[in-house]
This record gives sequence, structure tokens and C-alpha cells, in this order.
Amino acid sequence: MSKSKIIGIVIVIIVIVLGIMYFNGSSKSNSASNTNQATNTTQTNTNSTVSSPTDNSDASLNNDVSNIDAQLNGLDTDVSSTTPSSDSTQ
Amino acid sequence: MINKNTISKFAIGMVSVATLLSGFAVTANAQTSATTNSNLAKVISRSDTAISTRIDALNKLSTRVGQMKNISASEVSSISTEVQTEINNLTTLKSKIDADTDITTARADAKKITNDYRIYALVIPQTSIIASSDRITTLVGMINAIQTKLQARVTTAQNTGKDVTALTAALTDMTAKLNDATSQANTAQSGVVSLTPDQGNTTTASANKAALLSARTNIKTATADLKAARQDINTITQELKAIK
Repeated sequence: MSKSKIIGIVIVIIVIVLGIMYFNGSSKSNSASNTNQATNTTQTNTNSTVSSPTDNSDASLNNDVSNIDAQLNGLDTDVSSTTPSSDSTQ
Repeated sequence: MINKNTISKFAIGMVSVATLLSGFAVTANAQTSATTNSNLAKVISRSDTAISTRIDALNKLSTRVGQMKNISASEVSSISTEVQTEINNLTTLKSKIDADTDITTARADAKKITNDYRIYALVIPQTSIIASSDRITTLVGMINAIQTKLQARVTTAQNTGKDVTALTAALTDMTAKLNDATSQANTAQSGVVSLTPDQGNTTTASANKAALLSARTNIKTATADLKAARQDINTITQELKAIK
């Protein structure tokens, strides 16, 4: 085998190795990017479940209604103690 | 003729009768004293129980007063002080009754538990009406907030061409109910806030009772208003789903 053929084969091998290395790096980068995107999506979703005072989501309305029901129950308890004793010795 | 022997027999007989009678008297006195002590103990025991149950109820009331949100801090402080004063006075009265040694004084002190304090006849219902009024104000604020959210949804539905007649009617009813609840709660509170124990005065007792019953009616009406407004919320949310 001539000297020039050996040099040509070495160059081809180097090009192939560099190509493989570049492809792997790009793939890892995409993977990291996708992971980051997924994390961001999760954070966005988590944030969307937190209701603010002006929040008009279904979850917020349900929460408001539950709080109202709890206060109505408390009112029933308050009202039950508003009867003055009919016994004049009390 | 009465001889010496007869006289001495008669004298011995009289002495015996006198001794017997004095024995009966001592026994009777001892029995009376025991009965009096027993009655005194019963008065003290009954009074202690009556005072303890009142103090327990007042402590619960004190906790409830601390939870009030819409009444000013000075009014909350005033009511809390009043309740605490009643607790302190009852505690002092208990100590006095426990130390009473004659039944007449103990009975007079026991009467003060009811006449001077009127815990069940006035203090508890009066403070509960004020607490109810406070909670009604809280609820009106909460329902107002949800009404604003529902109004926004109704407006959106209307802008997309949906028939919102029933929804608007429910919102209007909700407003009327909330206004009436506020008015009833204010009337109830102002009607009882200045009542004081009657100290045995029957005219004052009757006036206090009438004021408390009237305020209770106001509170019950306000409660019914709020429950109707709560029902309006259901009506609106269900109707909004139906016309989606």
C-alpha cells in the first residue's frame, strides 16, 4: 500500500470519528433542550393552579364556594346560641 | 293527807321528766343543726355547678369573640373585656359562696348568679347575635366576590350570543338577598349591643328578652337570605355549563 493511500484512509477515519462526535453532541443538546422545555411546561402548569383574588378559573370558584359553605355552617352554629333562655331564673 | 314519802316520790318523778325533756331538746337541736349544714352544703354545691357551667360557656364565647373579623378592634376589645369581667365576677362570687357559713347568706349569694349576671338570659344570646352579625358581613363580602366572577362569565356568554335571561335574574336576586342580609344583620347588632343585665327588674328583663328575640329573627332572616344567594350561585354555575 502506498504512503498516499494510507494518509487518505486515516483522513477518512478522522472525518468519520469527528462526524460521529458532532452527531452525538447535537443529540445530547437536543435532549437537554427538550428536558428543559418539559420542566418549563411543568412549572407553567403548576403556576396555573395557584389562584389569585381575581382568578376566575373553575378551581378558584369551587374553592370560593367551599369557603362560603364552611362559613354558612359556622353561622348555623352561631345562630343556635342566640335564643335567650325562657327560664326567668337564668 | 300528803305524807313525806309521796312528796319525795313526786319530786323524783318531776326530775326524771325534766331530764327526759332536756334530752329530747338536745337531740332536736343537733338534728336541726345537721339539717342546716346539709342544706348549706347543697346550696354551695348547686351554686358551684351553676357557676362552672356559665364560666365554661363564657370561655367558649370569648374564643368566638376573638374570631370576629368585621367589627372594629375597639368593639371586639370592649366585648372581650365584658365577657372576661363576667368570668372574673362569677369566680369571685364562687369563692364567697364556698366560704358562706349560714344558709341565708348562701341562698342570697346563689340568687346573684342569675339576677346579677343573666348569662343564659342575656350575655350569651347577646354576644352570639353580635358574632352572627359579624359572620354575615364576612359572608356577604365572600358572596359579593364570587358574584363579580360569575357576572364576568355571564357577560362573556352574553357577548357570544347566548340567552342569559335566567342568569341575569339569578344575579339580580343575589344582589337583593345580599343587601337584605346586610340590613338585617346591622339591625340585629344595633338592637342588642347596649343591653345590660336586669338586676331583677322585670320590666328591663322583658325589654331585654323582646330585643333579643327581635334580633334573633333578623339574624334568621339574614341567614335565609345568604342561603338563597348560595342557591343562586348553584343556579348560575349550572346554567353556564348548560349554555356552553
